[in-house]
Amino acid sequence: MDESLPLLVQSDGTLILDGRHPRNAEALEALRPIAEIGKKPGQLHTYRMTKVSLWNAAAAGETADRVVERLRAFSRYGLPASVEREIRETMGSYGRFRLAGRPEGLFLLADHPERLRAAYAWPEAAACFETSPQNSETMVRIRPEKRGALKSALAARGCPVMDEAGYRSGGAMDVSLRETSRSGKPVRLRSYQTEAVDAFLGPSGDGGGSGVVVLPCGAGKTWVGMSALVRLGCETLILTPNSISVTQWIRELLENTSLTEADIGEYSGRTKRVRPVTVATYQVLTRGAGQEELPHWSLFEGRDWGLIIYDEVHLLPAPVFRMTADLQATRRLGLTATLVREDGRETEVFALIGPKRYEMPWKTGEREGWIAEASCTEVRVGLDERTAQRYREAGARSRHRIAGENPAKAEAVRRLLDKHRGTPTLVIGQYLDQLRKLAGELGLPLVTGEMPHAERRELFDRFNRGELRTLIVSKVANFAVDLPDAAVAIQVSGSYGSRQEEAQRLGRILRPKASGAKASFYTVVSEGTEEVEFARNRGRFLVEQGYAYAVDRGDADGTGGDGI
Amino acid sequence: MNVRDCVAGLPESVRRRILSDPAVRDRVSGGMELPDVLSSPEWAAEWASRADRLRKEALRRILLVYGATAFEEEKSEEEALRDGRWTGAEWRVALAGLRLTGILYAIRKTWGDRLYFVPADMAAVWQRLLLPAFADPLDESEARETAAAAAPFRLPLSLELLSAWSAIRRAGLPLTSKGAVSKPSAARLVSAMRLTAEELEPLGLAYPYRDQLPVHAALALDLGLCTGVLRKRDREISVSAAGAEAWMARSAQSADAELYRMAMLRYAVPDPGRHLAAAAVCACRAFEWYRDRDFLRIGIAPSAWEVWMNLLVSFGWAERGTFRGEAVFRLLAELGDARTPEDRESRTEEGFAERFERFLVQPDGEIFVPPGVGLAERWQLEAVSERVTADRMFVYRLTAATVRRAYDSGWREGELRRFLERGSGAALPGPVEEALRDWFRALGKVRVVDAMLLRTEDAGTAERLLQDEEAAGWLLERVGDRDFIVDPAHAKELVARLEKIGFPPAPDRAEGSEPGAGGETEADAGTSDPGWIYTGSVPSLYRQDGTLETAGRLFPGLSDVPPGWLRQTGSYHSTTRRELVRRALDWRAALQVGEDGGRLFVPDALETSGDGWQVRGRWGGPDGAEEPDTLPADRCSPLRIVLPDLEPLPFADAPANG
Repeated sequence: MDESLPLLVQSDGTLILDGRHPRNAEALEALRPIAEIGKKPGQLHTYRMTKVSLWNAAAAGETADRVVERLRAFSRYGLPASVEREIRETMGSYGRFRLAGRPEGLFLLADHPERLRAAYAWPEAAACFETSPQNSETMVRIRPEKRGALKSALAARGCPVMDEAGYRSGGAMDVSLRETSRSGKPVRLRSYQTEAVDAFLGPSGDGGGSGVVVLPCGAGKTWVGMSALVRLGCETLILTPNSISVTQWIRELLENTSLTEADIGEYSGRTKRVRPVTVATYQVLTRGAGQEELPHWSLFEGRDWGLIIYDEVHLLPAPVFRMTADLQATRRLGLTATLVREDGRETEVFALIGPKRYEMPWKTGEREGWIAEASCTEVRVGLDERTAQRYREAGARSRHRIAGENPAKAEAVRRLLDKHRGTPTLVIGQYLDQLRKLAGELGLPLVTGEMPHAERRELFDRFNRGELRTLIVSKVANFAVDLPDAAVAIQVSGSYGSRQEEAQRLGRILRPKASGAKASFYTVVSEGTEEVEFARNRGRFLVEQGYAYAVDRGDADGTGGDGI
Repeated sequence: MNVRDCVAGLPESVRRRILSDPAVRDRVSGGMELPDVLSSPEWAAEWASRADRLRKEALRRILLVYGATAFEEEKSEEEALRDGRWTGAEWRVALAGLRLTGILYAIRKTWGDRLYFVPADMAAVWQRLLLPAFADPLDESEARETAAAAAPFRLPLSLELLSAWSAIRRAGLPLTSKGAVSKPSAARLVSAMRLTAEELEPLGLAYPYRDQLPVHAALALDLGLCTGVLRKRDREISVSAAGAEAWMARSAQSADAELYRMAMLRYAVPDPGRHLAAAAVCACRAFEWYRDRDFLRIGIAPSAWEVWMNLLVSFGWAERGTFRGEAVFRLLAELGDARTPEDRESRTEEGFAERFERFLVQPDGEIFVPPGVGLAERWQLEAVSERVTADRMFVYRLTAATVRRAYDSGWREGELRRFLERGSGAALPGPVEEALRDWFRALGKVRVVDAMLLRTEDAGTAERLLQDEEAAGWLLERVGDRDFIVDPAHAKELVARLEKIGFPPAPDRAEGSEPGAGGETEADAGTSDPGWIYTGSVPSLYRQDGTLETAGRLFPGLSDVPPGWLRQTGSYHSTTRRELVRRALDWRAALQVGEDGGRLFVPDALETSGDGWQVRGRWGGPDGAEEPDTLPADRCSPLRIVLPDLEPLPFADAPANG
């Protein structure tokens, strides 16, 4: 045991790094290529080394020897033999199978004939072979339409495939980034955005073409997508989680590139217009899932796409995976803040979208001033006796609402708004009645899902221009609304459950502030109710992301809080 | 059976002989107790440095063939003879000598057979002195070449058991009326363990209700009972608060060393090869790779070696691997040093800081417990939080439910906070402090308590009782108009007073109450083995043999033999030579035959035909090589009977035999 070292390696490949240790930063650099951040509350930070993270490392050129040596160099209690073996096996598995395109067709190559025969023994892989491999053969012809299915099948068996079969160019398109945006701001990529695009395209600028870029919320993933589109100069399909994101992408493309309205189509629930650059939602593509033929599948065949961008790739639904399996000859760029999927299908992202090509950790972004630092505060507010009585007598479902709509929260919100007067602020809530009441009491505009799109857009634009300093928004705020200047978020009610929601809410306020000020994230919670526990779970998530989290009990007994 | 038990039952005559040895006598005069002398490695080393070849060889053979199991005197002599290196005379003298030195002990079965044995706790000491492995660990560059074998991760046994015992503390372990563990309870117990039954099967352990209780659960119970952490009562096995406190005062390392010692005595002793392996391995330095062959060559049976090494892997104490095609292993813990008392003494604040690592409370309520954290802290964490990860770093989590559980077992907010702050050496992170405050605030506002109620027939009777000053003094609180909560400490006085004032209380006939039900008694008090698994220790079943070996008893008729027959080779008449041969055969002694010092001949049988005779036997060669031969009478000259050195033996019985 060497107590002077900062890392502890668990037998399941979990890495625990001591953030207090003087060599923490050095060790972190060593971990970055091979592990994903799990959580980093307090002083001990947890990273996870998984099959996919090791494949990603191998795809980036790391070797098992170097990884083992580095881990040993930092491990206080040594490297468990089982972990070393897993690293060697997993990283060694990358590159054993390769896909190559030849004039006579698509071929799967293996480093040993036995391996090819072993793959043929797996039915889901064998279904992709055109012929059965002979005894000494290390190469077999593959059915071209099964390129994705084969990669997926082999990855599921722990055998990732290096896809060197190349990509089609797609329909050519003359597109560039503007010198200055339509609204007159200079258009310039940040250094990490350029690095991300370079990493995606590969060393020669065209050798790459599939993979994932991981950037924290607020770090400008859209810019990476736009830049890739411009560098490749090809027809591009952009898939996003929802219609708000569609709008945002279209606006950014028009604002910052030479594309015009005639070049850009929207394919969503409300509009189905296919143009050289088309932005669609995952939902519309998956509509009709379960039927033999997905009705919107034609979108993929509608044009000669040279690039598909998957925004928030960690949310990519299963049916889209299936479609993606059939699109392996098209370049694919995944954008996300996290590779961790709540459904655990990271292997499919690796096999069908591609390996991680670039990642910038959140804290680096903060340090460099690319995203705002955030402080998180839970503000406790007591229930008045009447509401408390109602709460006690209510059933489980009603309780959540009674606690969420606690009328005493209005006063807490008012004090927070006073404290942050002049700072762009969002008040976010789940219950429309509560939000309407708040809007009335505080004289503030309210944005809901029921609001006509144009009207909503206008309010957002006014907020962006600084004409409005505070907006009250309903659950719609959970989605990718672009509010770049919001510096304060006050959540008055919510489901508090999903980690994704939490990341998105925080993302709203993580854009860098012109003033350099910290972002503030408040949650107003009814003391003595189940909201406290829900909020604690949410708080735990934020703490695990490395944010400071404080509880202000000032209002819980009706005395008013010092912190407000 | 250990030295202390053996010395306690030692016949007086043997004790006196042992005490007459200067190496023992000097130590006893210096203030040591005899059991401490006879279990001291220093005394053993001194003996080994000056003992003659015969006795050392005999002890080596005993360790290799019998370990610490009991063996029959006569059978062992036959086996030694078959070995070819021994004459019966040498073997008997060696055994007697070892016994009178306090190394070997003798018991006599009811029907007369005498058995010898080495105390189980000394076998490892003797192994290190007489059968050392001379194993050098691989050097650094060699270690780098070593590939560890694939094996599932296993916790060190001390931590594995902590989880199992903690499950018993949480849910209890009721026994059936026949004393068996119910299947659901056994299932709950094994669900807290990573060890599997398959890993322990090769030990062939025997224990009660084997068909109902998986062997890994039996192991957790056995070691729990032997360490004193668990106690068995007639209807349950539960955690003994005092026993747990004593055990948990150790560091995990010290606990593992002590568990190794117990495992060796309980699961290795029955198989001499396994015992030898266990004894040899525990001298190795942790985290250094050793070659298996260095240990096998001391004479350990490969099958026994495999069983023991695989067990060490399962107990999280060792890792196996290969180095250039050779089997190697390394210990993952220091197993040769169990320091109980020191541990307990050093748990002062300063000692704590020096010897134990601290755990770390994270702001999200998770508690990270590095390998160096003591068992006491781990045991408490098991009580107040839920285990999330049991690996090199344990991770626990505080939740509302665990705080509720802690509260129910007596923890209060301040106490929990102090424990967490002391164990982590830091103030609690804000969110954790807030959470504890929230969770505790909801607890204890109402309580369910047992109270003794005095129920009256009607409100009038209740009023009348209140009017009696003495009775009213024991009525703590009135509940409704006809009941009182009474002070149970004065229930007897109250009843007496009520009878006196004319209200004799009627007995309470609550349903289901059985007179005398629920009384628990220590079921196994008085038995020598507190464990669950049978250890099959034969020596503990019999009394020690009081017979003192003398030269006369080992060699009947010795005093009648002319001293010259034993001293030097001589040429005798054929009849005398035949007498010498017969005597040697009776004593199972060797003969020295031939001119110029001659050669050793071990006679097996005397064959006569008419007046003639010949002796069948074997010539003793170097290293025990045998050369069978039959010598006619005329070749048996000159000759003498060869007896081993009888110096340590009394020639005749002592006047007063204990």
